[in-house]
Amino acid sequence: MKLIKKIQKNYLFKVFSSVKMAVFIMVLILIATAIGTIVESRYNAELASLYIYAAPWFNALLFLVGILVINATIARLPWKKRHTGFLITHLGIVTLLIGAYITQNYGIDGILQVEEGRSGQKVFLSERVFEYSSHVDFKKIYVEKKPYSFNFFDLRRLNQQISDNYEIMDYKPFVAEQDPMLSQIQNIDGFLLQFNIKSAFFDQDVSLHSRMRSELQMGPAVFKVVTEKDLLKDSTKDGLVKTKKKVAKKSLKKSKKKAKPIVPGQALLEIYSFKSNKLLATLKVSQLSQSKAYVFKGISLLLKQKFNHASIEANKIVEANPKGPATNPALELTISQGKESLREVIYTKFDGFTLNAEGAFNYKFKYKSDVAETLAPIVTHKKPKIKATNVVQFVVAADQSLKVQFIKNNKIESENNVKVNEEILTPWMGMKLKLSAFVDSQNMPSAMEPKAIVPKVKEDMTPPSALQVKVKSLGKKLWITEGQVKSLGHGDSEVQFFYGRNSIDLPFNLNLKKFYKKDYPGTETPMSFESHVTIDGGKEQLVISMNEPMKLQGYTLYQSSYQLRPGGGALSIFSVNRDPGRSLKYLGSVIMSIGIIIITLMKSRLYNRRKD
Amino acid sequence: MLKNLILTLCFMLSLGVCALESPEANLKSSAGFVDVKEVRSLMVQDQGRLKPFDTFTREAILFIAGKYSLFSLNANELYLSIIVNSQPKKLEIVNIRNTALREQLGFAKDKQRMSINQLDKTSLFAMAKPLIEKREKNKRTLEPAERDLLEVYSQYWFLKNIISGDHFFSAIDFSGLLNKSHRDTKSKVIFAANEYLKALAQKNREQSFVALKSLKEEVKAQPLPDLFKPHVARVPVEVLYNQSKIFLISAILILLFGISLYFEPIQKLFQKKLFRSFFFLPIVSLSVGFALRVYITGFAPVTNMYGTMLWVSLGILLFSLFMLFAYKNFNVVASLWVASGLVILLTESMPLILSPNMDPVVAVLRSNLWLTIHVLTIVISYAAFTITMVLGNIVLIRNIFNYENTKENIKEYAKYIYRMTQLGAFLLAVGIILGGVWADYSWGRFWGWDPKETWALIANLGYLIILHAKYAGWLTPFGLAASSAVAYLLVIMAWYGVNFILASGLHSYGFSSGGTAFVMTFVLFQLVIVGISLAVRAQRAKA
Repeated sequence: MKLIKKIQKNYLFKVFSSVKMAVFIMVLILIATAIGTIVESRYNAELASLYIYAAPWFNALLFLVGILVINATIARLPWKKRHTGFLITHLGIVTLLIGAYITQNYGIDGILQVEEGRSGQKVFLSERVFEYSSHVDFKKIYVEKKPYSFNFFDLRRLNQQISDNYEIMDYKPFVAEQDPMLSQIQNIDGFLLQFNIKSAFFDQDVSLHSRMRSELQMGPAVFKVVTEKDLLKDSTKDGLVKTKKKVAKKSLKKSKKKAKPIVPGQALLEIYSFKSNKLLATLKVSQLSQSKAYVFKGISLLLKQKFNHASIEANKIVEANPKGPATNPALELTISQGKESLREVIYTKFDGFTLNAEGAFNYKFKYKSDVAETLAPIVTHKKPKIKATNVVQFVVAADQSLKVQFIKNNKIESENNVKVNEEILTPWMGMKLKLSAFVDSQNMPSAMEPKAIVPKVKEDMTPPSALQVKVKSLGKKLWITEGQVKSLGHGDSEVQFFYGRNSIDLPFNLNLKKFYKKDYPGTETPMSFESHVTIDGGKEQLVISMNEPMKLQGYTLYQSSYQLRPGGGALSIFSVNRDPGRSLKYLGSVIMSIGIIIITLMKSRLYNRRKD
Repeated sequence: MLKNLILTLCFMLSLGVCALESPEANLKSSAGFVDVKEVRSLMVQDQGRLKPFDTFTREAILFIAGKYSLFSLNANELYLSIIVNSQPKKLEIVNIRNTALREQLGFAKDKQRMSINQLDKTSLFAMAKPLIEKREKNKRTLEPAERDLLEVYSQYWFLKNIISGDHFFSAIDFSGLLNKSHRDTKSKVIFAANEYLKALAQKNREQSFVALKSLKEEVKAQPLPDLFKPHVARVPVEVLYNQSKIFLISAILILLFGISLYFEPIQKLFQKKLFRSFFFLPIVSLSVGFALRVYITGFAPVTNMYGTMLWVSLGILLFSLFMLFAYKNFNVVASLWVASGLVILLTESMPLILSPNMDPVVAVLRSNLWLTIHVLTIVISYAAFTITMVLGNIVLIRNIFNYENTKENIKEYAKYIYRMTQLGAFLLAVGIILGGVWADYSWGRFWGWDPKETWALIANLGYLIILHAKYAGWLTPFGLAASSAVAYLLVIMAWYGVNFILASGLHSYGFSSGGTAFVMTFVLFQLVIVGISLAVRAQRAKA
């Protein structure tokens, strides 16, 4: 009691238990949350959560509320009868806050997406994780996404040591989405050029690569990158064609190393058992025909079409390149058993792209095309369609210096040497050209720094963030953008990195048998939607529908939304939740409500009159 | 010869007169042949439910013309005579709400309604096309003016759809309900509808009477999906509901009773039980209106702004009766009743902004119990806050004019305000928690910082701040009155602003637009009153 008296006299305690302080904190929370809703309205929910609701300073405010509430009860020791309502209410608030804390730190709130006819158990959470794996170790590191530019609020420790070998060097909260080409070129010889062109009409970042994408048409101008070597060979008119052949040959050589010998004209169809994965039979595709069914153990196969380059256009599979190289060979079959029949498309290169994920009739198929290994040339050296165009040509010299030529009607109008970050005005069209990167693509990862941007107003998606990691053993730094997988080094020293949303595996496997969406009759307005699922391949079908969640092994699965794809199965989106703080929050709510009722009653006239 | 010429001339002239007859006159003459009493109970399907033709046409005409009646014709008459009109494209019906848009399209600023032909000559289509693409890309990026333009664009197409008869035919033909892909264009119903329209066009009263009867029978003979079967009995009730204007009547009753309570003889009469029970009449009529809405829609009137406004006015009545028995202050109660009546009048007068439609709710709202309880609790707390706002303003305005501005008076009002703030804050807190329970049940989380729930919390915090500040001794009775008027702005934001101004978040089913100017005026007016009152008080304290 003496201690309490001493505490009660402490100046700091007095401040942090006073009603005035409580009012002040409440005003702060009121303003902060009001701003939060405006941020959400202008940008999106994720950004509002990052900057305000989930931000450390906001959590600190809530923590302060808890402290104040507890202090206020201590300040009133010894308690009297008139304090009953007040005490119960404040007990309720503390319980509620503790419950909320537990939910935030130990709860799970993620998204599980399952396609009709498939199963899934990977739940994506909103927290970010950085992973690296080499042949010696694997580690997951949690990185909270904190977009604060000043360090006082930034609890993220830069230069964070992950292990002896790795260090997080830098962080950018919002970066531009990367050109997908950039993640493919790491192991391809050549030069990467990144530049920005700006005119009154556009402002765009462009990446060129001397092998992967050496030419790009933008409006009336063509941008090219060539090496001086190529140019010398180009003295004859068919220079372009030569380059093409050379590269095609080279890539062919590369791929041939891995290629299994396949006899030309011997396209094969393999039939496997769906359950045991055992090869049951190998047919020559020439044995199949479009009119007469080939019968195999109770099923009959009809060939519908053979594709050299299967391509999906408007939900139909079509031949995109009938005479050209077989870049995407596929086989379309009709498989039937008795009265039942189904369509199946088998791709040589993409095993998983089957229409028959459930393994109807208990078979699955593989198609080994005879033409699969003739790869298309990577370089697309097409002659520009528009004659007499403006060409911006970057020329890489043997000493790896760079110059830029502005060509009009096949005549070089001007030629400059360029350096990174130099701005050049084009002699025509009034465009400003600024080179931002020029590297040998072997050195790619370290050189490529994602461009920091500002999130756009009213955009539903928040731009990704990016991390810079240093690998000491290789002496290299690497930028990795959210959602990316990157690797560094070769052979045994190769390390793979991933930065993005963390995911967990549910302790069970959810198979989506069927998704139903029911509309109000005569309208497109959904009345209800529900998913029929089975667990771990069991027989019992469970239903998860809007407002009717499913509870299993501590997790609750809610039907949150869906996507209907034209021609394909539906995608059902579940929100997966585990909330250890739930009971505390409910309890706190009840206690608080009871407390308020007691306060109101004890202050009411009726109560006071009875006392008198 | 001359005779012939004159005859020809006369003939030409009469033709000319016929052609000269304005499309509006033509409209009115054919409207005279519409048997409103009979046709309004015709059963149609629209927006996912069965409804009477009356409601169907009221909604359609409201959307296009911005009013339930035009050219002194009611919606039923107008709708049918538009279809059978000889020159429907000349009818000036399409209401352009945005005056700036009128000028942009090349019309006079004060010309409110345009015809199809007039709109055809404008650049409406060229202007709408990029906006439609923009909307498809990201709906949120549309500016209010762009949204207005797109609304005119859809009004235009809606009217065209009515003129062609498609709108009518698809409403009476139920075959699409059972089988979406299949619609029989040669069905008996369509035939009967055509007969009816033909009779109207020929202005043949008897034939139209017979045709309408057979049309009604054909409509009823169609098979219905199970979901719609219980709706059949509700259709005549809805006609009754539309015709009775029950909320308008209740509003007038409330206003009359409220005003009468200001007078002392009535206050004295109030001692008598019989007279007192008389005052329950408007409450009963309001409740009957609610009951009808609940019967027709099958869910509580909590899913749109219209329902919640009415619920608040009922809440004010109930709380004020409670205050009357507790404090016996007739003037306060009279003011509250007037406020409650005005809330209903306001609600009823803006059908475009506060849509009274009773169409089915989105999937997530179909879980009825928790939704109903949490919304009703939250909205009833708004009623308590409205009372504090009204009382606060009475104190503020009295202070400005120095009328009955004694310390005791202010203290008395402050007492009421304090109690009502307590009640409101409690109900709002419980409502928010119940909302959390519902969100936990439906969405899997108790609290998610969604703008609607966040603003409810902000409003609650605002009132908790008032209560704590009063406890800390920071607020005088006058300060309490002033702050309750200001804090009500938070309620307006939580109630109206989130859906109409912020328009984001998961509670996206209540979203709408319009009325911003009105609300902003209210907010400004409120701030001006508070400002002036505080200034006057400070001045007086100095003197």
